[in-house]
Amino acid sequence: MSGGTGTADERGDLTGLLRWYPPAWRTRYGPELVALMEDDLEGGRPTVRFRTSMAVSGLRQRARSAGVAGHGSPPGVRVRAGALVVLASWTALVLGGAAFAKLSEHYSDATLAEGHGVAVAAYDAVLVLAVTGLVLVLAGVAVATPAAWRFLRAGGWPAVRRPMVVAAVLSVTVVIATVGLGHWAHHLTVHARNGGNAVYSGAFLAWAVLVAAVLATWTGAGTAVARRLDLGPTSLRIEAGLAFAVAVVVGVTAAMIGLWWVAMARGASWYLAGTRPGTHPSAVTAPLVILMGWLAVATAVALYGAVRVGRSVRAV
Amino acid sequence: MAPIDTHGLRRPNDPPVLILTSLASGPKHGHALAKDIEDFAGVHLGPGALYGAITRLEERGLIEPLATDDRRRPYRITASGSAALADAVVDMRRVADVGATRLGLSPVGLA
Repeated sequence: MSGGTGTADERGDLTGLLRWYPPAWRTRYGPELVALMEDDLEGGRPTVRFRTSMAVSGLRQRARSAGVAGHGSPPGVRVRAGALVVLASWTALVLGGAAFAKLSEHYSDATLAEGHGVAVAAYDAVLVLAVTGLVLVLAGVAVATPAAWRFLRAGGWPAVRRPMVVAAVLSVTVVIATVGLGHWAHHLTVHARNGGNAVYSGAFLAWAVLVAAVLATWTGAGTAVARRLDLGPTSLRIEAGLAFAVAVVVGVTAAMIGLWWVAMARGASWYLAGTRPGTHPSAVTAPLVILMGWLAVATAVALYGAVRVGRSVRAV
Repeated sequence: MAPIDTHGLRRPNDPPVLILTSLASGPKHGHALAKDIEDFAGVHLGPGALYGAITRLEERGLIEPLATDDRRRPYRITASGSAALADAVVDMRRVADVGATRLGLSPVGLA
């Protein structure tokens, strides 16, 4: 290699910073960028700021290469990337929804002084939206299935084997854990199941993390497959429409959970705080604040994906 | 005033504008570009920012790499790049003239 000034160790250290960039970009620009880093550092070691800057630039380039950011990718790639961003937001919504299901357990048993109807309506709306979102996502999967089948038949399996196998193994683990946890729960009292048994609580938490991991890995596996599919213009337009609809579901669901919180806060704040009926503690509890923050992020991500789809779909 | 297609070149301190301006005086590799930009604009572009902009400009066909065996690959501005830079410069100069006029300074004037 000509034109080098750095030692092999220094060059190796700087080459390591290229790991933030996508492989294809590294192949094209990597040696040039390492040479520039050597010149820029003038023999010095890269500082934390320098490393951070390279990481940010590399991740930005990854986002651009994947079609998630920038305008360098073809419209079809941008539409697909936007739809996958919406899918990620839906996964986040499902995780938040699971937490909401736990936080709102037996809420209808609480006698609300006012706003009972609003709380029930908001809760029921969340259930309807959850089913609607699932149907829309499954429709998206169905639209992409013929292209996925063609991809696999053309020898694409090795490229997606790892994320698919990881997701499948985690799924089997969750099924086994669910059966075991359910069996255990049947032998425990209500008090023990709701925090009275520390070991069970720990196991339940681990199970919840495992379920979240399954959702995340399947989303990752789906994304890995979808990025490699050759979707025609019609399929892309259908996926774009479905992505819009899912984004709306994510936003409205977050709003309905917020409305449920407000209604419960007005009529039965004691339920939210876990105190005796009739008391009036603050309804601003840490779990609900964290949940709403999580849902706000999911909504923002869904909005970003939908806007990206909307700006690119006409050019498909 | 009708919006101008600036090829994504918006502000005078945008890395793509700085790179095109630097390459307008001849081909340069990354480090030479960074030094030139620092000299004429007082802006230090780190390696990540510089190559991010180089990637975008090359994708848009506004610059092109020159063949070399050296890792320090030089780039040159293309005809499209020159046209885009000219549009951007006219656009920026128009804004500068309005600002100068309103401040009672001598406008630099359009070419």
